[in-house]
Amino acid sequence: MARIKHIALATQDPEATAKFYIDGLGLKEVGKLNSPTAEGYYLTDGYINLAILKFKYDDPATTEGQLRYTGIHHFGCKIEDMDEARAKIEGAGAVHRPYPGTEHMEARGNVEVKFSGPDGVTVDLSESGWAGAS
Amino acid sequence: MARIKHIAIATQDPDATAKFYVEGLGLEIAGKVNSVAAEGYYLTDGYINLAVLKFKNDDAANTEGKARHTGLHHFGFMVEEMDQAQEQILGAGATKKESAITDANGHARTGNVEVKFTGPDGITVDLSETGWAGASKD
Repeated sequence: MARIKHIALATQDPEATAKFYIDGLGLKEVGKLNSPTAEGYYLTDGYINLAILKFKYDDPATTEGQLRYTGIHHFGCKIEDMDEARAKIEGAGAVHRPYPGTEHMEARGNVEVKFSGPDGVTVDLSESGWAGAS
Repeated sequence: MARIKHIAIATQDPDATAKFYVEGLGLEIAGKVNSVAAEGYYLTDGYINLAVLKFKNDDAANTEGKARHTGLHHFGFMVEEMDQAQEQILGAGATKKESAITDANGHARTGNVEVKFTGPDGITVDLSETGWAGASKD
């Protein structure tokens, strides 16, 4: 079964947002992120990766049919086999979403494939998982 | 430490949305929801609760400064001690969110007593001592 292992929040002030989840909820910082698509922080509660992202331009900031530069943005699942997981989610009606910067993902250890589900909600699938997630 | 144990998705068609996550990701139905605030489903991957909610009014649908009746909506943490957790999150700058969804009796009936807060960028963060249906207690 797929396991939900990633939640991404968009913000214009990643430092303040990361500080809130560290001070207010006890999450731990497990990495800083600076990719072609976003900068920010990876936090964790020991099980789930909470990404705090300042998107750099409109394409990656788009979700649910519109730009979202602030607010809860998307979530992701760790899966065992990408081909099988992809066939399954597409069979259920998801649409694969080409995403900029995929070639940089391997370097940071998070190879994700993005899909749009019902209501345009963005769902990531990853075989490798996300930083700090168990 | 607080544990993320809940993600809520708003939709106008909870049956179709739940079906997508069951068939497309293998989640399991842990319960049906029908409260003063919303109807829909609780799904789980065995660890976390994914709530698929059709909100019944704008108050319940409100997040990030406006009503959101479709799309990724909020998330929640299971905490060990509500008073301490509340003090900590308020100390970090959250504000308590009052809404029709804070229906203590209703939540007690469904086994999910949550307290809602608004964090940076208006994001809604739930805290719960009891956790959510289908989510493990670890």
